Amino acid sequence: MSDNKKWYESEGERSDVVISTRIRLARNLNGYPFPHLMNQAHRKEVREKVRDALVGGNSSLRDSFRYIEAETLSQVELASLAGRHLISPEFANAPEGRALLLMEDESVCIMINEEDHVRIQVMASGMQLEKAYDMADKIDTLLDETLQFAFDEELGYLTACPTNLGTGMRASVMLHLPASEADGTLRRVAASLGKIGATIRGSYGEGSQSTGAMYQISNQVTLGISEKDTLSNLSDISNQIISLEKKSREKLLQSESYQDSVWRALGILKTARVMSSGEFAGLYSALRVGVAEGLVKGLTLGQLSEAYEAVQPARLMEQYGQELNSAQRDKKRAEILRGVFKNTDIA
Amino acid sequence: MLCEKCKKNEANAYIKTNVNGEVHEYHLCSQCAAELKNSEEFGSLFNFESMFSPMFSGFDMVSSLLSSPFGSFGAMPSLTSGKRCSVCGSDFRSIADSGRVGCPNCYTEFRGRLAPTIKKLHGNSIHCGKHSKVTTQESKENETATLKKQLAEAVKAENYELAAELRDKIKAMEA
Repeated sequence: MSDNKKWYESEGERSDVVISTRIRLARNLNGYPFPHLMNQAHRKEVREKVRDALVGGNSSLRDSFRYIEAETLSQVELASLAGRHLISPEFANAPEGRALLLMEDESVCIMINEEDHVRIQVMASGMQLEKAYDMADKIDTLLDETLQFAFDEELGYLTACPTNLGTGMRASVMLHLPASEADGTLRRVAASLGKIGATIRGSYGEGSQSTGAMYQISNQVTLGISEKDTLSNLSDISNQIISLEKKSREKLLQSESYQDSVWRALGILKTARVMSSGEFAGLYSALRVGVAEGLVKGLTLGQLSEAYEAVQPARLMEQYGQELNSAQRDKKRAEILRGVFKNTDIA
Repeated sequence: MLCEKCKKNEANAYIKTNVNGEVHEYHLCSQCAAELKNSEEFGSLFNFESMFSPMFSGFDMVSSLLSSPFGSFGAMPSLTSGKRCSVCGSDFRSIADSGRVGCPNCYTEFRGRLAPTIKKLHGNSIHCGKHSKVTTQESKENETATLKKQLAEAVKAENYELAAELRDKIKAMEA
């Protein structure tokens, strides 16, 4: 992949708590079965149609995207894309007949023939729901000009799974909630989210456990509510959770033992020679709070996010060769992190 | 075969449940089936009324109900319906089993049978928000085309009752 700056290297709004924003639109073409029933010929036809609609002819976005047929990617490349949430694990496991259209900074990734024919995904750092939606909307409108997506006046956009009918939109924000997780606030809030049409889950989507206190909050309902209202609801809910997290952090930061744990994390990251991804997830969580709340100086949240992505297992293998075994990766990870944290100090 | 519950009466109801992938099959007599129907736990989970209605009206019919992790497909009064989608060839059974609709056209062809599931998932909601470029007129034309196709099939199958129904619908839409 290219060395150009990626979307996660910049800092968005409320990046002290909000890691990233993501919008996904599910769309389908009339006249074809949904992907789970498609044969290879259909799959190839659909992916070519979508490709031509976005990057063919006079498209205004023709130079912004790279078209990649999934079966041309190695296992490591697929795992790396999945690790960055650009494609789903399901997409990575069965690449045949699938494709993606990827924007250079990786802020937009369109999966073709995943659960639906087209899944437009837009990522942004921090809290940027409206901006991310505007981008998704623009791409959707452009594709719709040529493809005329399957749509019903009452049911909205028609999708393979009826749970996505209506807007076909899933909007999510990834939040870092170590303090409200630790003091139990989060558990209380999570229980009531369902009632207001939102869900909370671990960072790798459905059914996953959270690692390093990363939680994804998404809208649940897609039919009978407009995109605008969905975004504004999600924004309100997120803002409430953010302010609870900030309150919890205030208390937590007064405790000497918590401050100590942040500085210890920094000490380990600056000196360790071997670092597993599990150990890093825990230290990263402490460090992120440290940087966000001013306990650690010499590093920005954007740089921290960049380091996080750089030491993920699939990314290390992509960068340093597939032959890296787990022990070698742990050494490489420690080496990279020592470099990143070299000039940091306690504030 | 004897009823699995009371082990006394002849079993004349077959019930299959699939809750989050866990499949259970029951062979029950009508009495035990009725008790099960009234049990609160099941009643709240599934739409038993419609599932059992064929049996109560005197038909010895295989019934099934399915529920998938993303939403229950509720009751299926009959498994033997031969209707298939004219675009993708799916029948309602395969849709209920997989929890995924076959193609966009299935939503038109199985509209009535998908409605309870959609209602369970989304309530009585109607889409609001962005519209595809396909205008109302175009989608009406598509729907009429589908109905005409169904009409031709009904005539071919000599199902004149259905054909008359479809003809009236098409007339109404074109009016």
